[in-house]
Amino acid sequence: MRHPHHSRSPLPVYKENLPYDYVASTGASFPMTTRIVLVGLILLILGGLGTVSSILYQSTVLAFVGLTLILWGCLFTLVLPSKYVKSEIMDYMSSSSLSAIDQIIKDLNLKGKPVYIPVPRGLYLPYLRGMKNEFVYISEKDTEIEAALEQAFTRKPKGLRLTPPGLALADLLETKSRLKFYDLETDSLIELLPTLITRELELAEDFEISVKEGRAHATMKNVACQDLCALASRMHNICPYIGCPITSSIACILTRVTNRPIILESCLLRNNMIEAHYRILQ
Amino acid sequence: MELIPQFPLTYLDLMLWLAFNAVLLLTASELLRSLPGKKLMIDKKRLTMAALASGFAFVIAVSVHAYNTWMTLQP
Repeated sequence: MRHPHHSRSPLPVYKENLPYDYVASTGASFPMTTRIVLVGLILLILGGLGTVSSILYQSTVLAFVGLTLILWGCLFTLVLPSKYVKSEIMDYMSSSSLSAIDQIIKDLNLKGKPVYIPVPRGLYLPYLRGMKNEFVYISEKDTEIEAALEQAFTRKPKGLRLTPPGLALADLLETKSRLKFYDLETDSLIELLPTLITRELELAEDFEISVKEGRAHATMKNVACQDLCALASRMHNICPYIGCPITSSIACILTRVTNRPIILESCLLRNNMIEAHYRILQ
Repeated sequence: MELIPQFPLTYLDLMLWLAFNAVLLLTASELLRSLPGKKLMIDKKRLTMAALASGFAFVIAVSVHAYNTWMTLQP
């Protein structure tokens, strides 16, 4: 009989995902950032040689060329490289956590609809430690929302309290905005959030959000972690009710700004576009 | 007497070079800023800072030159 591990297909190993030391020791190509720095150093050396030669031969052209090479060498080594992680790696890292949440909900056989609940300011409950702003609550049975909200703050609720998958991202967006989302008006958020997502964090190419009559609608185009969203859409307990990290972070932000419980009603991924509909409970 | 080799560019040449690079970098940074998404692996903020620094250096160079010219015109 074959060992169960033998029947598994081997995981694909991508050369660019390997650590730098491994890549360098095997003589394989260097990572992009290292390559940029190497080019920068070569430009600096050539620029230095050009400048020295210009002094020796009294050549204006050589001086211009040398100085320009030094400038571009400095730009390549100091300005251009930045720490980037391939979105594929981030997707692989986050997918396990999402899968774990999906499995927990499945194993506990929870039937309720997940609700993003704000923790009232100044409220401290020892069993809500680690959930300082908002949390997701899933009741055991498909009960009324009001009953679920009451259950959520009890010591031992008949359901599950979860840290939202997008909480850290919502915190990051709040930090980058240098504002407190609790003090923000909804209109200000509609103006601020697209800039934060498209310019500051460059999470999506285009982002729009509208809040009207207790409902919010967010549209994102070409999201950086689109593959993760596609992966999450296959986890039926995650998508659409809890959401992928991005839709979940928007739910967290809406919870903070409105100070009301939020339900992620639907989430649709098609043609590089993610559409999410939220309900703001009164 | 042995002549010490001197740098062949004058102050005005350096100013011209600085202006050219400042314009190039500022244009590049503004164009990149309007480009959405991570299409290029460039830290746009740092590039903008470098462009502004070179532009500022050019303004200072011009100010110094203008001050020197004004001083020479004084009786």
